[in-house]
Amino acid sequence: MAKSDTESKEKDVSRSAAKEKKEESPIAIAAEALNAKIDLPEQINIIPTSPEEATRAVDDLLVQDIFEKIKFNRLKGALARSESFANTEIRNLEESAKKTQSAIPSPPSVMNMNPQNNSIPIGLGTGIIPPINSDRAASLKVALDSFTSDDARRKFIDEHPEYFSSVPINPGVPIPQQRFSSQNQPQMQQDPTTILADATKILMDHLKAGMDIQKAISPPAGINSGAPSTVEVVNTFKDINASTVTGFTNLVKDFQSQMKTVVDDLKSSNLELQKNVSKLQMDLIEKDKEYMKNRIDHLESALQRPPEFNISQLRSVINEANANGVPVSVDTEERERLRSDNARKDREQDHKFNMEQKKIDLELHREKRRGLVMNSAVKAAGGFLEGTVLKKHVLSTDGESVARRF
Amino acid sequence: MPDSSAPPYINPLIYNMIGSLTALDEFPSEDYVLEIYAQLRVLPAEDVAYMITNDDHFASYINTSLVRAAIRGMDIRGIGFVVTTFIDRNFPGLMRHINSSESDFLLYKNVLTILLSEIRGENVPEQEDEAKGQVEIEGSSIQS
Repeated sequence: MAKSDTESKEKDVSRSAAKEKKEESPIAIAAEALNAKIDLPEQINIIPTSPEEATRAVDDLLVQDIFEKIKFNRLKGALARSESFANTEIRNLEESAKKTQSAIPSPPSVMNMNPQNNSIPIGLGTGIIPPINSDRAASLKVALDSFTSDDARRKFIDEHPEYFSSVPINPGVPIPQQRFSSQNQPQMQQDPTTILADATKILMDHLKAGMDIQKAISPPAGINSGAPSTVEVVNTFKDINASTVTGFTNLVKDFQSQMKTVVDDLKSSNLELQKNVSKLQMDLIEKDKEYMKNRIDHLESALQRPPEFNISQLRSVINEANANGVPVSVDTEERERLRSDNARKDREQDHKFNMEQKKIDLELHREKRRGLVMNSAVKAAGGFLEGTVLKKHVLSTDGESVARRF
Repeated sequence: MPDSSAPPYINPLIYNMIGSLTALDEFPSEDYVLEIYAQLRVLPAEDVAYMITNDDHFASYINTSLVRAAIRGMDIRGIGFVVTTFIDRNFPGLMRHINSSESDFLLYKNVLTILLSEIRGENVPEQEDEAKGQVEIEGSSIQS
């Protein structure tokens, strides 16, 4: 009964604690979260306060990444080495066990079924069969030689199995003849010291592999030598926080000063622009007034003039009359005379131009004719000379003979 | 009937006209003339005269009145003498070939006669005897 009361009280206490935990204020939750964050490892500040810190952060990130890759590769290598070593040891042990079994003499029936085994030294190269000690063998030999009959020897052997402790005691099977050479003999032996040495070696290899794994897991000394303590992490975090606050304050100050300068410049340029705009507006108003005044004056003068004919209509009528053979002109006498004089001067200029062109053509033709005349004259002179030479030419005998025969 | 022993009449203009031929750009060399002669000497005189009269250069000369005026008053003997003198001066090798055999001379004479008739617009006289001689000497080689 008392036990059940105690359990119910403990349950009430745990419920009230949970309820109090739920009803904690947000400030407490934030403080708890902050304390929890303090224990977290250092993180890279996403918005660095200076380019140097940003570069350092990126370098740390890259180094950390490279270190992680190296660590992973070394771990993989150590694991592979350990696995291969273990496989090799298992294989050796299995082979040793097989050879130990093969070193045990088979029953006669089995031996007879495989006669080749008789010719092969049993246990050659295995080192599993413990050889008989030389002293013990010598004493056994002396003892067996002391007996005259085989029955006595067999009886001795049955009574003293300690001479054959390393071989199975089976009187029906003869002891195989072991002809090990002096070089193979140490390999054949596998006494407890050898097994212990092998076991020690295996243990050392396992320890080495474990050390390699530990070395691969542990970070390099240059980067992170050992896990930092909580105090160091908190101090580092405080330093980072202080430098961040300082950098941010400086940045805000710089930004405020720059903004102030920009605002001042904008104010001055805005003032100047307003002045220019007001001046242009005044000029535009003045020009508009002047244009309106001129327009009004022109309209007033047009209203005061008498009505006029449409000039274009009148010109079309005159042109139509001239086309129909009726000489009508709106020009004055002076203008008519001037126009006729101009037309006459134009014709004279054209005539002069044509005459000049004809003179040029005539000169060209004369030059051509002179060339032809010269050529023909030269030819004629050549022909005349050749004719003179022909006149005075004295015929050869052949020519004279031909000319005479005509 | 003119006297055959008297020297032939030679119009002075023909010397100038035939001498002007040497001033032509196309005036041939003696080797070319001999080559042409070797091809033409096996042909009848009418064919040779036909080939000459249908040549563009010859046609351009005989159509002028100057050539007709230059040979006015001359007979075949005078024409032969002047042409022989021209050939003897400019192509002496050809003259040797013409004088080498009777057939070559007959060919030469008949061609000149036909050309003279063509220039004067006369009919070509029949030269049966000379044609026979031409046939007889066909196939003979030029003796240099």
